[in-house]
Amino acid sequence: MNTSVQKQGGEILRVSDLEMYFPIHGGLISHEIGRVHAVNGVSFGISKAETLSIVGESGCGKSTVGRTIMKLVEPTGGTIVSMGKDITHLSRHEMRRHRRNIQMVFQDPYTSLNPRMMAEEIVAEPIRIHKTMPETEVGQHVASLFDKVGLPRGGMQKFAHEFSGGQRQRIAIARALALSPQLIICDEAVSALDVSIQAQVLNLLMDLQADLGLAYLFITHDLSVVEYLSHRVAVMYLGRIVEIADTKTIFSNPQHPYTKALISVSPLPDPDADRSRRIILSGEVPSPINPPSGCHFRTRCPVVMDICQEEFPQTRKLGDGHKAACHKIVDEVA
Amino acid sequence: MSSGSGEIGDILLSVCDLHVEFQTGSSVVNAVNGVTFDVRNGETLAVLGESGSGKSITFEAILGILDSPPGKVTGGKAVFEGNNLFELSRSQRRAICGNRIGMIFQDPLSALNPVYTAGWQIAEMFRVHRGLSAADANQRAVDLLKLVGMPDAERRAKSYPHEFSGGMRQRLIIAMALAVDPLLVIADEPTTALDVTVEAQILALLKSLQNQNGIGLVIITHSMGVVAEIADRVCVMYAGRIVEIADVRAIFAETAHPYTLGLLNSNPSSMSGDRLTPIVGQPPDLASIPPGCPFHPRCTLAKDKCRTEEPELQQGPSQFHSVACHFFMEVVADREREVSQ
Amino acid sequence: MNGRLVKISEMLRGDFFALSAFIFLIVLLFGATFGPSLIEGSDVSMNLRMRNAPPFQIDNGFGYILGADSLGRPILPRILYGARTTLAISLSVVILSMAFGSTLGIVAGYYGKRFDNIIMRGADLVMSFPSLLLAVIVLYVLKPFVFNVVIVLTITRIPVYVRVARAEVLEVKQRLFVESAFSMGATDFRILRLHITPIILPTLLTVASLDLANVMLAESSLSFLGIGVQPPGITWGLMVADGRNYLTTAWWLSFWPGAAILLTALSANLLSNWMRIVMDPKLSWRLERIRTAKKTRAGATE
Repeated sequence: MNTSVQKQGGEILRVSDLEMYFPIHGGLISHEIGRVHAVNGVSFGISKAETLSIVGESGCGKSTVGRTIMKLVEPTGGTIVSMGKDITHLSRHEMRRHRRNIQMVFQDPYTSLNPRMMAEEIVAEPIRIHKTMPETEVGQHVASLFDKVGLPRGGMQKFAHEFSGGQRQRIAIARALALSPQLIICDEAVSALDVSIQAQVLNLLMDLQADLGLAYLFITHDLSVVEYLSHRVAVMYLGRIVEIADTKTIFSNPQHPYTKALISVSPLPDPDADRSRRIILSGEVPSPINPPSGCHFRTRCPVVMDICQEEFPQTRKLGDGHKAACHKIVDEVA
Repeated sequence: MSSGSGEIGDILLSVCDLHVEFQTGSSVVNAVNGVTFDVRNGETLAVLGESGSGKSITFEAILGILDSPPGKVTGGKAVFEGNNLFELSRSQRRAICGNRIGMIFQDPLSALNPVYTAGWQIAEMFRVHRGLSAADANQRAVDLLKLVGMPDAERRAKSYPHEFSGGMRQRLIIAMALAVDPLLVIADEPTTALDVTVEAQILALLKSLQNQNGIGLVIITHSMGVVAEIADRVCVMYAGRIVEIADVRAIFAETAHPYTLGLLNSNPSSMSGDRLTPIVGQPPDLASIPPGCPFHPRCTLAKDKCRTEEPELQQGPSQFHSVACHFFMEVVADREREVSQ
Repeated sequence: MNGRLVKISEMLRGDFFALSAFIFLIVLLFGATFGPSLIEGSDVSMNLRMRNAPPFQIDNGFGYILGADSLGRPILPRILYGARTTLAISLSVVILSMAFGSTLGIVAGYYGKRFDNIIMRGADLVMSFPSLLLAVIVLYVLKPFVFNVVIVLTITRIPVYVRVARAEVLEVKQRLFVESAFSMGATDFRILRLHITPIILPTLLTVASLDLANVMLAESSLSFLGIGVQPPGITWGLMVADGRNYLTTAWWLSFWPGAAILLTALSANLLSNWMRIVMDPKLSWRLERIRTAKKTRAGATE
């Protein structure tokens, strides 16, 4: 899965300078005393049938990016353009129509399905909300979706708790497919599954992409899954993208110190692998309420310089869609 | 007693034919079904398995912290320092488990009391189990925090658990487990809830502590990566049974059980560019295990014998490598072929 | 649907107390509806010859089996007639307060902000008034008709449902499947109808069944104080009040209606406890286990 991207049919999502901050209230009259910049100037695009992964650790804002694109929360800055239409400031009512293009699969298969609805009702719900087909055809469509995700048709009348974790995730995927979207956002969609089941679901996602031309925004903390599944990778730290490139480049030639550290410490299933050159970062991710001045990563960076404290590093372009935000990198392509 | 600096010594804990039953819904299931293994001084044993494997329940039963209305130990021995833990009275067992065995849980926040400071909780271990005075106990607590790499230890000792981040809390739990100077430490998914950069720190810490004090360490995990990182020996569990047990290199290079092989092939980082070959089917339903080998419904090598006769855990490819599979030689051959490519 | 009824009846058999409570309530309902017409000597008009007749004297006729009151009226039929009124009032209050209270609570919890503030402050206001005092004042001013009694009791019970419904909605609103429905473009009405209400309904029903006992006791207190239902209407509370002066001489006047109140309230509580276990899938295995243990002993196979 290391092929580089060719623009097939154009961009279906373009996010520019996306910003999402949460105000913190305090004091006697509960005025705003601070902000959590969960997402602080994030820009990227996704093309048809492409998988972009956003990878990062806790507090980096990757989940918030997903939820903001889905308009589950209203962005406080920046623009989101979906299928050529600016959806950033649409009202909830106007947004309804556009929701058919982007669907989401959530992390927890145990709470993302209504415990009182049968599997058939869960998968059919998007169709019933948008009334895309007459009620008589819904059953047949749901059955074909069940086939597509590898679930037995007999399961349509069962309740969510009668399925295993992996099967529930398949139900969630079937539901996401119901309206034939262009893009599916997977928010840690396989993180809660056992390894053997995770592999099944990953294969399913890849097959669906080849079959239906789906694009994925894959949000995760697991680098091994990223390498397997994605065309391009964006690495986030404290609300910003610190590096973005196609998969092969990210793993063979990472430029940002954080990316390098992340790749070097990922657990490898090989006891004889060379672990002597690991970069084990000190400390932990700082609080997003009061991030360090200048470059947010400087408190843990093994190659920190004086300028890192004073100035925020601009994004440098390194050619072929590879960008990184670090003072140590010299522009190769202006 | 304890041998430092990475040497592996005598047997600390010897578990023999352990059986644990569980009442779920309207049926009784065998959550642990005949488990036998040893843990030695200075050795890290990884217990690898997915959901339903029984890995956590095994140790909850040994330590006596099993939820007792649904769960019940119905057979077997767990011998620690010459005593069978199941034959001791509750107070005797609590004395041993509190004093000589330390436990690290997966969710640190639920193991910490939110109304006492970190320092107080560690010092409590010294006051209760070692009878130290308050001043001595507090000093030992701070020393221990420094030992586990807690920055600014004196100040941190006065903080409350909720003021710590995930990695710090895990260090705190490790400090509490070490406070009683245990011979054996059991860690249940110690890094699952942590970020990968912090996970690396914690695993390095556990390994260095083991080297310093020569303790026996058991890591219960579902991650092959953690196993490769830190284990000396590996014990693979499936459906309440041990299906393979060997030292870590042998598990990866000379895999002898189809389930272990399947786990390796399901891991994206071990496949370079090829498609994953996941294990087909669902995790086992302990209430309805088929006759014969419990893994046969999902096994690509299953033959008639597998459907009727349950394989015993016996010596496999080498003296210290045991496996419960009728056709392990085929698995070893398959793995060798894969590795050499 | 059929399978579910069978399952529920088996779970009922699994809990002795709940089963007894259930049987008692069924008998009570049957008796209240058909009883008086079936029992001879049910004429509840005054009969001074039978003044304070003691109970358990068969020769007086079955209607007098529990004795007679100070005006010679037979107690057993009066209890059955009284059951109608008491239960009718209590059930009406519970149903009305649950309907209004839950709706307000759902609105407060789901929409939050201003709605939440207004509704919760209103609920606080009602709750901070001692309910009996409120009832006394209102009924004294407005004259104690049955209708007014129901209205007053309903108002005092509404805040409980508001709070419970609001708390439940706040929690359920956060769950992923609600977020998922929102992200699909579902309207608020749809989310409330399909996703939130079915989840919080069991809790509300449990609260309602517990509250039934409270309402019965409140109504009895009002009648006892003389500001509830007036004669010739009959309620258990009134009957207890009437027997006040004869506690040492003719204990049966107050005892039987008092026992009726106690047993009915107790049954409602026991059934509510059972319902809580049944409706929570995580707990209902306790009742199922007993059922299957009996089945296996009988040699049946799963």
